[in-house]
Amino acid sequence: MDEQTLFKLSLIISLTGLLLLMFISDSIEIKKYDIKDINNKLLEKTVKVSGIITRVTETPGLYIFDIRDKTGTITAIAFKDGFVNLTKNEQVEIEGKIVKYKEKLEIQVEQIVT
Amino acid sequence: MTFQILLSIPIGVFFGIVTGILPGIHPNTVVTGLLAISPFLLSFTSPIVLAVFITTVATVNTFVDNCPSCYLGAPEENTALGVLPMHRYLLEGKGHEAILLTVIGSLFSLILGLILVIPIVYTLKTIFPFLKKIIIYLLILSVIYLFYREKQSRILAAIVFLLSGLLGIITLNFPNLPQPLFPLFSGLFGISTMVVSLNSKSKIPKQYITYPKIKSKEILTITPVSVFSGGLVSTLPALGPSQAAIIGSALLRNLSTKNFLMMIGGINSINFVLSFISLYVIDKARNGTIVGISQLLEKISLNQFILFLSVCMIAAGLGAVSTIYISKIFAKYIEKVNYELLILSIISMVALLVLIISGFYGFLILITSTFIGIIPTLKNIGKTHLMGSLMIPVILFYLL
Repeated sequence: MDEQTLFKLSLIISLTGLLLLMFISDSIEIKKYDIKDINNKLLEKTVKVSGIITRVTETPGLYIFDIRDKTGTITAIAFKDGFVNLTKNEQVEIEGKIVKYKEKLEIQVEQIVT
Repeated sequence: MTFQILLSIPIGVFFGIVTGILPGIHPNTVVTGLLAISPFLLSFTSPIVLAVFITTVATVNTFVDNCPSCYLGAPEENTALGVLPMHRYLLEGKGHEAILLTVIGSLFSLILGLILVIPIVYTLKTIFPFLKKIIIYLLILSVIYLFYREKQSRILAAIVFLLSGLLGIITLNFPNLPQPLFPLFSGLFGISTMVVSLNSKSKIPKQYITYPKIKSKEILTITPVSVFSGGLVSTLPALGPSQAAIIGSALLRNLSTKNFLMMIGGINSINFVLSFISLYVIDKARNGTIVGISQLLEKISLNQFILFLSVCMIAAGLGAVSTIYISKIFAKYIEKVNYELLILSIISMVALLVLIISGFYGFLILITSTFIGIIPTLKNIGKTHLMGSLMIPVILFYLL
């Protein structure tokens, strides 16, 4: 293949690929879990959980809160910027990454729907 | 215990060599695997022995990694920027010389790093908060300088930077994608180079064992710059050797290919050793290996810190010797093999590994990143601009 053709082809495939990936990344549905099913296997994975906030602690940059559904309770941390105020007894659905902190699993919140 | 530690070093060297030769197997993969079976291993050995083992594997790996980068054009993140300059040497029949340059760069930086370890620890403690504030502007400046330096085509360089940056943002935020950097970097830096050399039907000439001529002045300028830029980034989140190389090339103007290779080697090694210092001084893990170690040992003590530094040095020495030896083997056989077939099988192997490790979406990323990577390779502009894939997400991370 001559260089100019390969160059044009590369540009076209790059742009198509980017658009496609953007579209897929947006449309991937994140799986919802019962809190009791969250274990070490899900470490670093993004999950969705919904429940009631049972405890909220505020630090200068973070919200640390517990969320409870019918099956159990888990701690979640959220950076303050971008999130609305969180209050106790509120029903929320959160999306976030499972991380380990001091040997316990936590959810590092990426999105909150109240 | 001492015996176990001593034993874990040669075993670590062996694993470091194997993972280094195989393209696509990053030390992080090995560390993750080891951590998965660590409960079993810990039943007959101690966390410290395991940590020494991990350190050895990773250190040796950073040296041996240069061989597939040079002879096969199959890099990993750390060696990515060196692929094109190494390939140039390879096409002149001087692949071994390119390897020697990175090894020499590594060793000198390690020596200087070791001499400076105490001042580095103290400086780090004092300037860390300040550094955190200004590093991002330093990076932005370096990027601007790199555009400015690209006389061939600044617009194309900017396009490449933006395209790869967009891909970087998508990839790093892709939900539940395991090892996202693997397809990203394999495509941008590895397979793209291979596709272009397949397309141009380049043949690998007979390789000669030549030795680089390095003036002491070169060592005296390259080594401190490697240590400085490698050290600068090793303490900060989301930054690694590639960003250090960008800062380094901005600091040293008119960097020759030869000196660039020395710098890359130096930065890689120093970055790795300094990440121990970060763990010790500011208690932050900065790469997969260190994360592994920090999971094994709660907090490292001064004695353990010294132990790890010594293990690093021993492993670096052994890694350097093995790399030179392995490079000679590569140099001897590379012209005898059918290069086209070899490249095609490496591409298929990497593609297969991506499918297995990162799944179908990873494969899509691999295709996109390959074609983005082809653009600068074809147009002969710096592949550093592909680092937009990490720079743009990092810059956004700091600014937002």
